[in-house]
Amino acid sequence: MKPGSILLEARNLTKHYPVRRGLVFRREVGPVRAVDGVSLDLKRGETLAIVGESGCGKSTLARLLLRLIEATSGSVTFDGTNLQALDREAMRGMRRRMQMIFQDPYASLNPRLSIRRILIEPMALHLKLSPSELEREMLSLLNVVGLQPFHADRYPHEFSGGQRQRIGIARALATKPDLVVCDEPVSALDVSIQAHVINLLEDLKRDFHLSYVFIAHDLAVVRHIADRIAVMYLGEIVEIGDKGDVTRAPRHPYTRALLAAVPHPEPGIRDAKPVLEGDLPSPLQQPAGCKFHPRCPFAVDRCKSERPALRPLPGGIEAACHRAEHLPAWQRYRAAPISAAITARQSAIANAAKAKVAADA
Amino acid sequence: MSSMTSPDAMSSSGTSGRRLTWLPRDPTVLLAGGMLVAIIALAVSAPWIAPYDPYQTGHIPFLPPSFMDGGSPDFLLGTDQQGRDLLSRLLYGTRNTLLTGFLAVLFGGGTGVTLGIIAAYFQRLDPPIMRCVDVLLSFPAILLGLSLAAVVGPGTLPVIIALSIAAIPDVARITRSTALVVMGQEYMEAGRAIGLSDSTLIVRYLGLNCIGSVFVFLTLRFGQVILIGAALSFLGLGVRPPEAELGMMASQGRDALFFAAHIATLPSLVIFVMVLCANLLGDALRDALDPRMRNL
Repeated sequence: MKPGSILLEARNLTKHYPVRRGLVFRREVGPVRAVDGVSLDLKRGETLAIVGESGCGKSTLARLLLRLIEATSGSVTFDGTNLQALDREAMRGMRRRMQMIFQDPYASLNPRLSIRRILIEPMALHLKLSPSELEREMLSLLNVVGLQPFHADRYPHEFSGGQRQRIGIARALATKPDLVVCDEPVSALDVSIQAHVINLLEDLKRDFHLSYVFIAHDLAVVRHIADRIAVMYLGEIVEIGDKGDVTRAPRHPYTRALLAAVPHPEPGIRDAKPVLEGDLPSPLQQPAGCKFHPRCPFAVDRCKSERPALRPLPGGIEAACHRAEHLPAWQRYRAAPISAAITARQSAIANAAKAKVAADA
Repeated sequence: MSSMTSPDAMSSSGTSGRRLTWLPRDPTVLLAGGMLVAIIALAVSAPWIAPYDPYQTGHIPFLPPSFMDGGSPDFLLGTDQQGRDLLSRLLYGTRNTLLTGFLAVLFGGGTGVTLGIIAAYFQRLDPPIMRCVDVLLSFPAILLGLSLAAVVGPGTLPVIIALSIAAIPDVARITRSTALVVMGQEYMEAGRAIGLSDSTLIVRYLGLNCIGSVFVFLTLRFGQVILIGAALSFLGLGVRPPEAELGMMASQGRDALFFAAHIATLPSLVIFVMVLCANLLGDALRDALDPRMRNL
């Protein structure tokens, strides 16, 4: 278990879903390329965040990495073992070391099982423990995620979303895994709860020597927890690099657009540039050339015909963009003039608040 | 707030005791369950408590129940058109009817549930299984019973077989649709991510989450099975006279409906009460088996 060695390696992972149309004569109208040739490495002890907008294939990628769905092509190597080469039994055994935390804490716990059984189930399956040891481990798991021993006899519906997500986390930790894939673990939670769960995940990573693949669409969350960030667009990774590099000096226009879309907490500071125009193209009819070119403000003719490959750029980032060297320097925030209407509304709110304070006093 | 409530304030009884302590609190369950248990107990103990031999003829025929005008205290519920004691026949008849219905629901329902769950879990098996079920669905139960009786000869066994087969398609379809909904839940994937085997996933995840609504359907089906069984007996395919069976007793009593109504109505009433109790109980059991409905 030396840190820095590679734990998970994906090569050319591809998942195509056939799409059929027609009532009687069902013909295939072409595959949806949910994940299209993704390669990535995860080092031990590292948190790799995968970000992208809805429908870009993040969750499919997460399931491919754990072989919860079968890849159309490509391979995943976990700690030197090619997962695609394992038979069903061996794969089930391997699952002890690779766990998943799900997005929806309301749907990811079996409503018929008590918390005790939910937590003991994976341990009884993978670890050789006596009943009393299982019980002790279960209680310590509850403690680790901040729940009480008396919660063990309850059922999932008796908990709040944040508590359920803690149970989901405890279940993922039960088998003492090396890798945990978190599929948007906080996006279903309240903002106030998100911070608790994120901090919990960070503590657990340290205490249990975990490596995370962290799927998210919220860059604010990612910036907090990730070591490296991979940006996905339409099933491909368009940019990957260290967190600091990607957020401070993004090289791909799409990453820039994502970063520009993060609202700034201070009022009055807005981005000068419009963020992104147009919608995500249908994954059924993907654009030729660079998939991003119809929405890209920097696209040239070459982008329409030739698909850019992920290539290393000076500064340690890898990006898939023909024009990475020619983009203008990235600047995050510019103070944009606030419109008169907003200024007037803000002062009206402030005055009303003052008046209320005065009235209360 | 729920996370901060003190343990003793929220203390709950042990896991095992919970289900059973909850059930009798509901008066409907108490009533329906009590009735059903009483009926089953009476039916089972028929040979010991029946006042007369149910097949002994020769008493005064068409005697009304003892509490009505012209009734005799010797025959509590009167006699039928052949002068047999109606109470004794009801006890024995209930026994036959219950047994037929129970066995048919057990075999047919069990097969249907298994097929439905397998079809939903192994998607590759779904089309062949469901097409076979569709074929079964196209046989009317009565016709099936007729042809079976033609091959095997009339009796209880062909009725049970016919009723079982008739119950399979509906149960399989209901189970499959319920199971498909459950299959789409994230916890099924979570179970697979843990590394659970197919059998554990099917029983503990899929089965446990389907059984509630399927159980209610089975109790409904129990009522229908009893009615179809009665119809088959009426056609002379099932239990043969003089054997007592509620459905057959009801259809035979039809002839005397206008001057000795009790001969047809009393067996019908027993069927009605049994079916009603089974439905109410099934409904309540569904709620009890579903942890989400507890503590409401």
